[in-house]
Amino acid sequence: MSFLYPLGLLGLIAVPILIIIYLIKNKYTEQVIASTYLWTLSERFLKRKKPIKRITGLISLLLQILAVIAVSLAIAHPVFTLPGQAMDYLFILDCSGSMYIEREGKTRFELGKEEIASVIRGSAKGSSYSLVCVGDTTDKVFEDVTDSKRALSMLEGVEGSYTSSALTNALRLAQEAFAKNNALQIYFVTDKGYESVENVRLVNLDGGEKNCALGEVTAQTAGSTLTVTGELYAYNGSASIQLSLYVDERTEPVETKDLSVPQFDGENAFAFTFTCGEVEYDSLKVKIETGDALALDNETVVYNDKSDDTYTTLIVSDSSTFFLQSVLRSLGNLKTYVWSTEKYETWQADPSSVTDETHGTIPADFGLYIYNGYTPDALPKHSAVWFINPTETLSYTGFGVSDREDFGNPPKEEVAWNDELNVGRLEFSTSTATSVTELLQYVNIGEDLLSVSYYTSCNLIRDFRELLYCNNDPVVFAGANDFGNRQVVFAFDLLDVNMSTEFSFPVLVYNLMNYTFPQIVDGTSYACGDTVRINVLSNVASIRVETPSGKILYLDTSSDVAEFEMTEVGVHTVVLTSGASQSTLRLYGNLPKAESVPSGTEERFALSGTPSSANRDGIYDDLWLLFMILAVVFVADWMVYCYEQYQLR
Amino acid sequence: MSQFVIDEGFLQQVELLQLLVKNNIAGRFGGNHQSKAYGSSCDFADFREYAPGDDIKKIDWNAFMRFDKLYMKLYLDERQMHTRIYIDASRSIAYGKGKKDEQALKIAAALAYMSICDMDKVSIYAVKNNVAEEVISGMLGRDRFYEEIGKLNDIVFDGDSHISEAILRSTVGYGDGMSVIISDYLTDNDFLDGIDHLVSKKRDVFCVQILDKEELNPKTRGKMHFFDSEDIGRTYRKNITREIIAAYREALEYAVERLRGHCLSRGANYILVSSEESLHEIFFGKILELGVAK
Repeated sequence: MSFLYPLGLLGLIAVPILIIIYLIKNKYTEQVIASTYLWTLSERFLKRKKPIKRITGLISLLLQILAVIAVSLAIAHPVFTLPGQAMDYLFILDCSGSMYIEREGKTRFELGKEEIASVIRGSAKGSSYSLVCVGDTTDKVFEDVTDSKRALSMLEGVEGSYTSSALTNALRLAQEAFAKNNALQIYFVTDKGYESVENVRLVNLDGGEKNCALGEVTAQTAGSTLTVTGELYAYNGSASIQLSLYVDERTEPVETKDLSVPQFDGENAFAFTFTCGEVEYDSLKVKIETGDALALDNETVVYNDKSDDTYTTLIVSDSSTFFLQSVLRSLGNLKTYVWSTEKYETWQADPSSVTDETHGTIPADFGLYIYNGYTPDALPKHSAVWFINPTETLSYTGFGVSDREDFGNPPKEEVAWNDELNVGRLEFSTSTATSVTELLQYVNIGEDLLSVSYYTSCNLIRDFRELLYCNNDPVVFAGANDFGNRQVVFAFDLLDVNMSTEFSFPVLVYNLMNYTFPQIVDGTSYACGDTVRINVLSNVASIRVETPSGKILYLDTSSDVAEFEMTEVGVHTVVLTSGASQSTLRLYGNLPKAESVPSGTEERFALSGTPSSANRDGIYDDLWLLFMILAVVFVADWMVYCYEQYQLR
Repeated sequence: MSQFVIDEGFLQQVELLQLLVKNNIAGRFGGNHQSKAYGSSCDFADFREYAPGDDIKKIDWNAFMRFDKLYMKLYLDERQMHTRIYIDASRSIAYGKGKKDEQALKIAAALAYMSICDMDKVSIYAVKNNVAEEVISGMLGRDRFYEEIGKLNDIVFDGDSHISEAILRSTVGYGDGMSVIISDYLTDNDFLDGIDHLVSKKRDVFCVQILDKEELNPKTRGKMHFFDSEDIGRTYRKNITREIIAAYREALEYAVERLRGHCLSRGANYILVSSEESLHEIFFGKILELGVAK
């Protein structure tokens, strides 16, 4: 038996004090009074005493001693070490990708759950159970559950993840729980080996299984030859494997290799190369045909990005757009129409009444509208928009046009800045936000001296990325308008700014054009745990992601970038819906490289503090409060009795 | 020895009171209390026929006109009363913080003064063991009261008291006034026979029982061993609990009712006073209410 609060036993000092008081009080106080007549007479009126009344004093003493002992013990909280006593259990289950490594037909994850289940089944009644699953996030699956059947049921429903495990959070949670209750039985179920483990019972599921894993795979097309290169890793010993290359959805490989891969030494991976004539492909799959302990890292898919990057652009302007057209033409992938405002308005009123001599056909809608010194009656609802030198405020643009700041002098080329010149100085944003810096990438900030002879002061309503300022007013800014379409604004005429002739201008326009027509995704191959950023194009209404397990996600398209976390191994299908049309992207989620290692070694998993053997006494713990209340009530009654008995003397 | 002091202002108030006796007084000297003998008071008593030598001033001429015979008008006589006050001088009266002895002496002095003011004779006795010692004998008039009342301070409260025996052995007179017994009556010794004896001697009896606060409402608790102040051999040893206190209260009620009932059955008067009570409350409250005085 041990005590949670041994200082409570100090209350037992009251026992000898009680006995001394009893002995002192047990003496009769002698007193001479005027007459004992009435006292003697009172004997006749005294009700007959029950025999137990004669030992009332002794019983009272015994009860008082019992009360003091009860209170002291209750405060000290004795804990009995009994066979099969109840305990508090905390299980930390590693749910990382490596837990999918199989041994004798069962994954390490399943084996881990079985270990936990056996501990729960073998525990005494009254025990409590908590389970923390550590994958890409650390989640408390259940906490202080006292019903073992319920705990087992919830344990059964736990699923693993494909990411690396965030052990820092698990360690923090375990430390918090251990600080609250240092008698807690903590089980850490993992396949990682640890050099030292303190205050934790480590259940290591590493069985030394062999595993081969594919590393990064790239494909390059040169003329009529497709070259696929990649890396192979063999863990826990060398391996003879059969590696195949599949093209598109074909079931037969286009090429197969038998390779003898030496054990990975930690630095040099085994490289492989496939060469074939399949230049036109949608996807390439590389697969290890020979089975091993972990199937999840045995194949990877590379998708060919054949998306159309030619965009139709309409410039509406009554003045010269020489600089702009020059730059747009240099980008090469833009089909640019240049119309007068009159022609544009005619087209708006009746599309069939307008012809274009340069290009012949006119699309139903343009990918980008550039309004130069002109403000249309309505903002295009499904296209990106650039405003150059906006003249009026237009609804849904997210900004308002107010004053025109005219400095009166023409812009100077390559002049040293001089306050005497009546021109406005353009200053680049100094923001370090990624959204701004990526638009100012490669722009010679601080080197080019940019000036403007006038600009239009704009009031920004929506949250735009501000790139250039003049007199602290934003003059070049980009962002999504009220229709969710990407929008760029130059608050000046390109003819009235020396910027157009600077090197920075084409770079800036290039960045802004990339912003306006962004690549939807940066790549098609990701590791689980990576965040996939999908650029939301102008007319995209919804983005739907279907994971390999069939889980459906709908991403938020209100901003210009939508994100989701890659959590599963396999093909993720991304469907972008814009109006009636849909486009589909396929992204492949790979197991993180570290999770392919079957026998990982970590430094330590240690909880600070000294463990206690003072465990719970299970269901009897609930009686503690009742015990305490009874003792307090008894003491209170005794005090009232003492007050009545002695206070008036 | 207790020294009592009585307020002169209170004595002046007491002058206005008069002790009432139920029986006609058979005293020898004239006084203010009705007597059975015919005398010269204003209270008409009877007629008788005229005899030679009678005082012609007492002839009822109206009766003569009606009956043509001479009749004499007879009047009741008023005699002097002899008030005998018995003070229990046992140790139980004086023991403790209650000052029952002082209260007893004050009541005795005040009753004596009332009686003196009514032209009565007053004797005060101290009852010790089985003897009623005469402390003041046949005191008459205020001057003598002031001269002799100090003798009460000479009473030594000690020993036991046997009231009945002491009264039986003393001269109590016959039908000549009131006997006042002042005691706590907390004794196994008999006092009821004494009361009966006085009643049989045609005396008005007035019993005054004085108890102190602790006796009326004991606060003592716990294990106590009490010794009787009059006889150290009489002891009481108990753990004083709520039950004991309840039994004590019943015993007190029994003792008081026993005395009150006895007095009532014998035509005697009885009052219970606390040693804490003021004389004003006793005389102008309880005594007036009881009809012992007017």
